[in-house]
Amino acid sequence: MRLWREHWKLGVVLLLLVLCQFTLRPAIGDARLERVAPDFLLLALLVYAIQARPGQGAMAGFVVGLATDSLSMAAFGAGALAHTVVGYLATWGKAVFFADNLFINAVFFFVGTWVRDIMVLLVAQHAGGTVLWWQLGYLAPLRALTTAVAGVLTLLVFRRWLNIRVSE
Amino acid sequence: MLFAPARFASRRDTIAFVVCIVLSIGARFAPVDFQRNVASFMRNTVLRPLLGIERQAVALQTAIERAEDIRWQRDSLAAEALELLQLREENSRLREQVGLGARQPWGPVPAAVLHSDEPTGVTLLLSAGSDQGVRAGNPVVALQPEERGTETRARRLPGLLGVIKSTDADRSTVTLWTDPNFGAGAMTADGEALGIVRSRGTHGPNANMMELIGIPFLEVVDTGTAVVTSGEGLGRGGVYPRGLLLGVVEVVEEIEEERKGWDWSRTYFLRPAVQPIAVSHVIILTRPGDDVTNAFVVDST
Repeated sequence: MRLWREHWKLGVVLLLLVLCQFTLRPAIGDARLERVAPDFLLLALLVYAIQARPGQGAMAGFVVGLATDSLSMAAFGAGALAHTVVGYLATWGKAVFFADNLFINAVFFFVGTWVRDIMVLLVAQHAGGTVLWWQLGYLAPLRALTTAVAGVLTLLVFRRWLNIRVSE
Repeated sequence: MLFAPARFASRRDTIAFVVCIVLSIGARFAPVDFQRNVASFMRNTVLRPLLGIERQAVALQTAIERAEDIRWQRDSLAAEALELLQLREENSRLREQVGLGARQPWGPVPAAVLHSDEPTGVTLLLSAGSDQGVRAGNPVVALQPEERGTETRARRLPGLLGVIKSTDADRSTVTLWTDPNFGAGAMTADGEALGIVRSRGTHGPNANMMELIGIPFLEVVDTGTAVVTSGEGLGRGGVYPRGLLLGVVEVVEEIEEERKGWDWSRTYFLRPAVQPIAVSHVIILTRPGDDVTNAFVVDST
């Protein structure tokens, strides 16, 4: 019974993050910064990965990646591959290395987003040279930073629902 | 860990990961049509409600942004309204400088001269027509372009150029005062002397001049006196409202003695207020009143 209740709470948080992706994200982001905004779908994947098994994380990553690929069609499959890897590694990383520390969690979200972007950019092979480095060295970290901030806020707000002990 | 078992990462997890990787690579290198079909399927099934929500969110955001734009436009209009007050004052000053009085109540329509009917020189083709409210019989005035050594202030007043002869949707033809059949009831600006102004034609001696006829012999009109339309016959076949500048008295030409029906009268030559050949823009008076004297501040001296 308790397990179901925890499932339900996690589901609500993930659903909220998914809704944020389709409602909040279009409205935020500055055009001068190429509308860099938190990736709530990836954040949902990472939040799920905190409490999931590696296989579950990989499958969730694949589904999320397939969804993002279907929406953009820029490099179909690249997102699926990147999200699969990130979902899988996130479960491992969280289980092995990370503690329930707010800063560590922020780094977790930051690295997860950055790695995803690096993989997508490299697999898609749409950009090269200066543009690629601009994406990898500037926009990707910026996006990772915003996602990390959104992730920390999510943990702070829903820490009881997610059953996470957050210490500063 | 909430869901993870004690023994982390089983073979099942590894297999799931490998399968997902293989599927992802397969999707990446699949034929484009297959990719499109899968993406289309995803968008039309799983993602459909989310995309619907996103569409609504974007519409809402757009509405909010538009509301901001409308507020911005309203504020801009308010600011422009303030500027308008200054422009009105400036406009009044400028109208006074060019001899225009109060704002004309008769809906003037500006037009450009498109074509003149050389060589006769008695009509002009204008750029405004019935779509702009121009009708046959509307008076046309114009401002004589400034010349070096302009002598009098009256010289720079808008003067009668002619009358609209015919109209198209966006063009009209004006019959100029140079037409030999031109005639208008006239008077001196002070209203002391009444007569008729006619054209001297476009050829021959004193061509492109006007003549003021029928001035009683005992009424002497000084040189330089402005002559305006008297409004005689307006509404009974006449088309020119009272007060349109015709020209300035140049010289007394002749004294007629019971000639052509004028008993002991004088004829004066007028220097026209407007020479059609110099005009590039005109004003068509689409709703002339009985009296436009106040529209043009004519200096009789």
